[in-house]
Amino acid sequence: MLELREIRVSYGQIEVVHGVDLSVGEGEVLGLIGPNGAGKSSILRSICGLACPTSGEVTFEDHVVTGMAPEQILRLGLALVPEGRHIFKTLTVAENLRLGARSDGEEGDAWMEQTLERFPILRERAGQRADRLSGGEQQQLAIARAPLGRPKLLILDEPSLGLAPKTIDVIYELLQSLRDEGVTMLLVEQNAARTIDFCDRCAVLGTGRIRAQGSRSELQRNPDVLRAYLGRQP
Amino acid sequence: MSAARFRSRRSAATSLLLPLALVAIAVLVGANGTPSLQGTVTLILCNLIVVIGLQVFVGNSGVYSFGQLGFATAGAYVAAFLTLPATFALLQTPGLPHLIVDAHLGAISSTLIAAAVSGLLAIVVGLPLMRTSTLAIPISTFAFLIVVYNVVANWDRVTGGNSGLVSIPTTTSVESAGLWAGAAVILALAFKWSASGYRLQATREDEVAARSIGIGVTRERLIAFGISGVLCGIGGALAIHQSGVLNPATFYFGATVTTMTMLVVGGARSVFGAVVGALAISVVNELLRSVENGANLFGAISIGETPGLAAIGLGLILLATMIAMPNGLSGGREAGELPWIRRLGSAASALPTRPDGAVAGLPPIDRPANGALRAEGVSLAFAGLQVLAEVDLSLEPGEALGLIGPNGAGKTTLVNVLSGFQAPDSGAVRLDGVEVTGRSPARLAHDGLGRTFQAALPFAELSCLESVAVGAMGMGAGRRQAVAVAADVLTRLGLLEQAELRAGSLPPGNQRLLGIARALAIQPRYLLLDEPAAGLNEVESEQLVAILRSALADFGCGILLIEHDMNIVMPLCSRVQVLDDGMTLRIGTPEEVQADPAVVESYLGSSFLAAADA
Repeated sequence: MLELREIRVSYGQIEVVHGVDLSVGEGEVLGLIGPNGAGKSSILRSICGLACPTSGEVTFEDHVVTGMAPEQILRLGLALVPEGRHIFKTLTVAENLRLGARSDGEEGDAWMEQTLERFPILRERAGQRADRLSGGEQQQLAIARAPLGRPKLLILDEPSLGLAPKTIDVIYELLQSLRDEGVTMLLVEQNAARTIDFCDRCAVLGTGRIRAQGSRSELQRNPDVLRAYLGRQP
Repeated sequence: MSAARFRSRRSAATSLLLPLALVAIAVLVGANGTPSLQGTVTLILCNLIVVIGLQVFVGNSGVYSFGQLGFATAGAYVAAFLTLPATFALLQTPGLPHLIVDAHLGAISSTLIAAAVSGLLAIVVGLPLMRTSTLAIPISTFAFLIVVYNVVANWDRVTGGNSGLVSIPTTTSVESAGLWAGAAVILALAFKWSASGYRLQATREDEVAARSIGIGVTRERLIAFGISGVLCGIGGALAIHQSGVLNPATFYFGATVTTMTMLVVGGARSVFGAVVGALAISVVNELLRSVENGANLFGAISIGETPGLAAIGLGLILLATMIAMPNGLSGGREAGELPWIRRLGSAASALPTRPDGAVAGLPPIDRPANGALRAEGVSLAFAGLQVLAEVDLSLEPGEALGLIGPNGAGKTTLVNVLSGFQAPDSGAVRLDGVEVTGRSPARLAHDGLGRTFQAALPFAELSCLESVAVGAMGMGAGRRQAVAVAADVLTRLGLLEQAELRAGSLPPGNQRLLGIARALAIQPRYLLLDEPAAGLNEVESEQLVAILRSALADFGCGILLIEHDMNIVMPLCSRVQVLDDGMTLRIGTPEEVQADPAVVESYLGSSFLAAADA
């Protein structure tokens, strides 16, 4: 479904991603892990058209998306939940979700209802301005908003950032149910152990290169790589 | 000790000499040209001084002011009053006091007095205007420009009204304008690189973060506004001593738009940009104007009169620059920071080669006996929603207190109340026994309270060294001391290698560490950290624990830690306070809190217990 070939990304003089190949199959959940500065965000940015790779190609469902504008790429059925809280601060929670649903019809209502079911806190706060929510609630809103557009591929950049342990459980339950519905996911996380457990396959990124790739059991055959780039062995 | 510096001597010298060289070239071109070209170049140099004046305020504060030409007007009228020959003065300005009419000052003394008056006016006007918000300053300064215009246009007996003043002695030569312009370049760079200049640039990069390290935004803006007023006054005074005439519209809308265009096209953040923009636009403008009046290109193509060509051309240049080079021709860089200049020869590092060469050793923090940071019965509601209800908290120096709880429990709000970013509805905050409720964040930073934010809030355009040093400058440290403190803190946090990089170019995790470094540089007695480990992986989190441990031991400060990662909270904190729904659910040792069924139920979740058992 998503294919990256020989992607290189530079900021000014400094190359941060040195030729990365990556593929996500239909219905697959791929995790991208590795230390800060390894190039995870740069890769996500080049998939979504927020950064232009210096060389290489990104294809999504037979479309070459390299060089396309972000909104064009998103229209192909790709959704990004960005790191941080890129919500519409002065709109209410319900309005934020409405914008994510992109349709006013019954279908939109149904998705909205389903989402509020999954995020009880958002139902409680539906009429409140989004910037009055706590940091964790804003994060939940950002995550809740993206699946409303019914994407084929959902890209999540650190969905558990700044969330309480119990809330992280809630988020992962939601991701699991999306996965059960067949949504393909690309997940970037800091918590390597949890990501490896959750994903079908993980790619370990270190200083701009993929150092290891595979399922949990396959990765465990590479203990040196895991120790070098993830610290404690998961 | 080879002390750390913000930039190599070479880079500083280039930044200073290249704009001065451009000014010198302009002077040479003018001095060897026809009298008409001489006059043109002189006026361009006067304009340049005004643009540099704009840069001092707009470039460093990031706030647009449309009123600076009002100070040029003030300077111009003062200089004219002081130099008009008596016979013309009697005719044109009968209402002027004799003392001023009879002054008959020379070129230099009249310019200096004009500078002083316009600088003073800028301070007086800035006192209220700089208190208005970042968005209101462009409008309020614009209103000031209109007020100045109306005063000089209608105060007939003193200013000559709309007909203006003529026969002002033309004493400004191209050489003297060049000397003043050179002095303006030096003054603007000296300000930009001073502690005050850095504090102002920090407010441009992030106002909230700047306040948290003790920077008074209004005060820093006012200082630059005053200096900008001085430079604009000088530019105005010199310009009318070239042209010999002055009327209320000389420095009004047209001049405001032109000078602002020059600054934006050149790149507002740098003095070099101001110089490049002013000279480039002036040259283009002169060329377009000569074509406008009809011209022969290469003797072959003849162009008739094309009125409006200069205005349209300048508009297109401004538009093209904004689209292609949003940071202007200079990219907002000083000459010494240009990539192609840095590449010439080996870039001499501004930092000591051995990290320990810079460690100055921070002075120990004075710890008052029985001191503590306390919240007493703090309550706060947002739009009817009770966020904090009668919360007590106590943090002692040398202690690490964990603050945990579900999202929305009020943890960040409590830190905002403690650090002065949010006033509580009721209750009090006490710092070492003194009630400090309602004090500003900047004041509390001076009182010894440092904090970080959930977002890293980097000073993106400053280098890492500058970002941290400005924390010490916020406390009033001079540049040298601030750099020593910053190098020390960066060394401890393992960030010294990144010292020269732009803060905005660091990966997110390092930006967070930089935020902690910045807060440590104010040498706080109490440090409030809002989710410092968010976005760090396990290795980096372990490094963070080590850093915070040494902050406890070396700096002796008390640490309040909001954090969801129990692998950080539990080993570091001696006590943990659990907030839920704006109330304290439990205070105890990490072991007690983890074992509390209510805490597990509301916060940790059952999977945490399962993981702990496994």
